[in-house]
Amino acid sequence: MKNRTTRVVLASEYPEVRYRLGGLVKKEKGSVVVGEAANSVTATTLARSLRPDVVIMDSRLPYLEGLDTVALSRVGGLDAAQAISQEIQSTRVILVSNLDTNVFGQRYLSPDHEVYLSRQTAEGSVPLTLREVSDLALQMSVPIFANVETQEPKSFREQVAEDGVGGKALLIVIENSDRARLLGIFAVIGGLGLIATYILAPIGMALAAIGAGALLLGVAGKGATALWYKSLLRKKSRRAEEAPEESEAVSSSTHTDNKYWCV
Amino acid sequence: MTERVAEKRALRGSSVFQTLSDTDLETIARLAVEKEYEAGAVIFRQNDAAEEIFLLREGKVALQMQLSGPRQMSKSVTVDMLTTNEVFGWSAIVEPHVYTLSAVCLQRAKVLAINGTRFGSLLQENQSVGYAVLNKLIGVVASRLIETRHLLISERLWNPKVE
Repeated sequence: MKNRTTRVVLASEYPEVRYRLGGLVKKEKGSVVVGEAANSVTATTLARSLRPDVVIMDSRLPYLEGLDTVALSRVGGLDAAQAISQEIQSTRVILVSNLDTNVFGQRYLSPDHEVYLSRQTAEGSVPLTLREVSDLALQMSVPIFANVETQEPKSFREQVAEDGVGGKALLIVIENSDRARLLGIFAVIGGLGLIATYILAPIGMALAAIGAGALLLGVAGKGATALWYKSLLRKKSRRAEEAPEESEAVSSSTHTDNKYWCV
Repeated sequence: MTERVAEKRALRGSSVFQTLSDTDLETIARLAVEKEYEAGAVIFRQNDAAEEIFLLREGKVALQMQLSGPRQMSKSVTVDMLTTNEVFGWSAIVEPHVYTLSAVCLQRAKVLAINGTRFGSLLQENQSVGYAVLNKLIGVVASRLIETRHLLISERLWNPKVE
């Protein structure tokens, strides 16, 4: 039961928001999107028929159809969240209320931008995971009020350090590759400068050659590391995908593989 | 007196109070206290005695109407969603001083709560302030009424049963 899949329904009028929320779900191990809704009536119907573990709902949700010029036509999120929370005790509803400012408010949000759920507290915002939400007490019959936060995409080094795939050796290789590239660039520039003085040209040529070597080594080192890292990630995710599927097959045989696209 | 600067600035940010003089804003600021609510908290409930009128400084608040149906089937319906600088809880200055809706925080909210009784007296005593505030409030009410009518008309037009 430990590795049970967290089944999620997404509700937002906008496909872009659902796509972003889908990415957030995909990132969490053992979570899967089982349905999507573009209005509160469909969201409630899906929650009733699929009985998901979690519903992530945009608070600005039309009841059935949103009128572009009328803001009042998009006030159905809270009502649907309350109705689902009261009616389906096994489903946790996360009501997100800053999607209009945080997803559409940013001029450019690349697909690499990190998107995660958070809860506001007096001390600041605290990240919220789907696993944490689905593990909450079952008698809770009120929605969980949350926000979606975005973060600049991480650099390759930050990503490796966070994932912990490949260990410290990988980080050392990346660091030294970066260092070699930088030293190589300086050596090549210095060598070219010495060649220009004519008298010290032989030393300059040697320095430039060493520099070019270091530069190549740095570039190749980082490239090879990236390839190796990707293959490690692939293996890791394959292992992760295999594990929850087995346990889900034992705990529940319905809806796991069916995705309902009611939008 | 200096601590009222934040309250005055907040009042100035709202369309309802922005035309008032600095002195008038200071008088209203003295009737106000800042309050904070967690996301999900209820600021006031429908049918509660309306003692305060609120200005939303931060966060989002949903106004809900409680509908009670047959067999104890009660349902909450959101009728408006408010953002920064919007004023709500007008029942505090309108008889019978009972809230007609509930206010639920969708996000952690900071509000300025103005004492309804004292604010009502101020509007009566200082008629220029009274006129300016009520004039702006009517504007807000009118725009919401127009929006509600648009919604009503569009829903009637789209509803296949109404032809």
